[in-house]
Amino acid sequence: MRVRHLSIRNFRGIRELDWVIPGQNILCLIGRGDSTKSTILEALRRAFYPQWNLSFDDADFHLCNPENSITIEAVLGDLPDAFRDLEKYGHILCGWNPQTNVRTDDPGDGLEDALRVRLTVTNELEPSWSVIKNSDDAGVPFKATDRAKVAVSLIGAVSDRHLTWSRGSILSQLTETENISSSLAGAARAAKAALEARRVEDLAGFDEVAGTAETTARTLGVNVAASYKAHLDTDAINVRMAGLTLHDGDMPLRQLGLGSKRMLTTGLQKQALRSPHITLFDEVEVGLEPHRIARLLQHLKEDGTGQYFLTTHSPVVLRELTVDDLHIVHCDGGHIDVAAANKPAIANSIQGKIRTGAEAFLAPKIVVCEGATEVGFLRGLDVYWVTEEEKDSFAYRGIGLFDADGASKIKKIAEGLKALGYDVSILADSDEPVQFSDAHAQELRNAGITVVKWDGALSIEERMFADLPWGGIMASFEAARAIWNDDDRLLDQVQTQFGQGFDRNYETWADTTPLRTAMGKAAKASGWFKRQSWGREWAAAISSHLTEDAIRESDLVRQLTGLRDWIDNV
Amino acid sequence: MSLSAILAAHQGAGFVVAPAGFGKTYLIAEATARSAGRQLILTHTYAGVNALRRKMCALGVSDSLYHIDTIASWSLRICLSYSQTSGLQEERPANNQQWSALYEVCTRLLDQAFVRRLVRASYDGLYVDEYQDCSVAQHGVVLKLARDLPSRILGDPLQGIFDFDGQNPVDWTRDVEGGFERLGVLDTPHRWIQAGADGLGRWLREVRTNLEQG
Repeated sequence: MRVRHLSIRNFRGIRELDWVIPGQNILCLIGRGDSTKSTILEALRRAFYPQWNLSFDDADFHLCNPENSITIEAVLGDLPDAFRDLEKYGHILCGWNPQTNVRTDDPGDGLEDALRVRLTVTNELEPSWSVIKNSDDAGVPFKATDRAKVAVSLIGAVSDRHLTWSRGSILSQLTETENISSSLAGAARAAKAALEARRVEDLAGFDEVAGTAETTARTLGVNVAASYKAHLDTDAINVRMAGLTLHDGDMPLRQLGLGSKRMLTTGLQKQALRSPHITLFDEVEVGLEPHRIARLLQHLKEDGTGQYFLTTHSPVVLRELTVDDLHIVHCDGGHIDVAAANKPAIANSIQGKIRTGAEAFLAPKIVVCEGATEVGFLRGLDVYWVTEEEKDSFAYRGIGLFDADGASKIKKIAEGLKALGYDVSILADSDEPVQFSDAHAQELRNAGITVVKWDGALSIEERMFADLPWGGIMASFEAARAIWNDDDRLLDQVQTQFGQGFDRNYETWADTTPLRTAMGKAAKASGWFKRQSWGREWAAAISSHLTEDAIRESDLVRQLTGLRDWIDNV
Repeated sequence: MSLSAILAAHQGAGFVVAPAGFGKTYLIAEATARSAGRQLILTHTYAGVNALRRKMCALGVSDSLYHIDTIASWSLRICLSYSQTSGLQEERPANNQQWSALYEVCTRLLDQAFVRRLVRASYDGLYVDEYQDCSVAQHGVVLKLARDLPSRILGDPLQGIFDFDGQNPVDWTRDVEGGFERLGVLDTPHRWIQAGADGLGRWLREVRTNLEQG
């Protein structure tokens, strides 16, 4: 079974949420700390809770106000025939249109048979589960045994329960025998017998008191059938199912490390998959090293029988996923939006696994950079700002950097990220007016995106070589020579741009505009810093020159100051 | 092989000639107990539904093995459940014309792939009692169900009510013998024997034979 649509009202941090759930097997929720990701998983767990005794308290209501009832409603597709039975829910199926993602009153051609299930909790705190067709229906009860068939399990921070035979646990799903309870009753009787055998050793003190009680009873005329003695009450030693747990030798497996427990639970889950399941994985990375995260996610991907809802805060997890798997949860005063990250522009710039830019998705604020040079340059600048100017780090400020990989893609990516609920700024060159024009920049500004775009149709290289103090120019050249192993071609490249009268002896170079221009053009055309690591080295070489008074009014410094303002103040 | 075993095992569509008092209800209950999975058992009146239920109880047939209903209420319920698709306007049919309209709506609804799947998911076979009382419109519903469920119909062509008030009953020769396989006939008048009226029972059987042979 699969959840096709989820709608939540007044549950904890969620005032309202309506989410059309895409068809992928893996749905990874990311978003800021308070964006209610875990609450969404908890809501799913409760909607299909396999027992009747689920307790709610006032804190489960939005703003702790139980006057507004909690409703959690799910449209369930991929139904088993057991749910189609006219004696069960066969009379109240609805339809789900997978093309338009709209629910219809009746199933029909081109529609998937679906079940609309609803959990309601009023201020009496009594949960009630029902299957409904229309919103105002009372519906028919959605029975615990049927909720169990949906096989929803939450693997949370504490997942010890699944390593026991308590009701609904994965181990008990795997256990064929119907009468676990009676085998446990045998264990209780055996315990009683064992104690009886050690009566003299262990119970002498207790029996003495029992004797006193018996004497008292006889004195008062209370009938004593045999004689009073201390013994185990089978009621009290009733070994419950939850008491039966998985052991390795004498060690209960709950003492395993958290990560191992979660891995094992997931593996068992797969064993238990006689029918499809829905597995909720809160903070999937917890307790796992990167290589084990990779193995776990691989395992989830290969399991075609399940629908997995994950939450994560880890770039390691994102790197193992594709942009299709990613869904951003955005909270605006209790109104929750879940947006798929696979907006065309973003998906195209990532392609396949999210090898780069994973961190960007986990940050609330993103700087979309034109290319690798800009990303690297900002990373280098971040180090300088933290160490030399004692400013907050990007990490502290929640800044992620996203490589747009080309001027033509900046606008769409920035708009896409903005639409996903991120705060966005861009760092763009101005030398490709067709692909990213002033009009494009203005459009982004109107959409609330901060635009840092060099003045005067220049690339970052040209702008820097134009504006930096001469010391910074030579430091840049030094950095390039270090990156390129003192390659003579660097001089060839400058010479090509400079033309007649070029002096190849750089140690005697003097500050002239033609030389600056030629170097800027050569740096850009030949990609001197066109890798993140190179951009970083470049920034390390020149950062100290940015504070010189002489260039305070330059476009370079003004633009970078603008970016820093956005970082510190938005 | 007993007739109830034949009924239980039959996978197609068949009929049994079963006069009143010849153990028809008993046969259905016994065959249900022997059938695999849950049977949909349809009849015409609530008296008929009750008689069948009592027989099931008396024979200790588990209620998970059957669902007994009247053709009218079964058809009305499914048409109302999926009213968007069936387009059923009249929620409370009050005369023959409206009932006939309902059965036509139901016949069309049973062509929907999802409804056929519901039927298959819910039942493993169909019994219809007192088939001689079926209208042609009800017969249409049964024919649709018979595509998805092994179907056995029971009735007595000699008891057929006359076509008054536009009820338009099935034509036994055309509709039943023409479309269903003959699985057997009940020929022991159990009710009369139990009542100690063997003679009357024998007489009835002789009269039947004469009537059938024209």
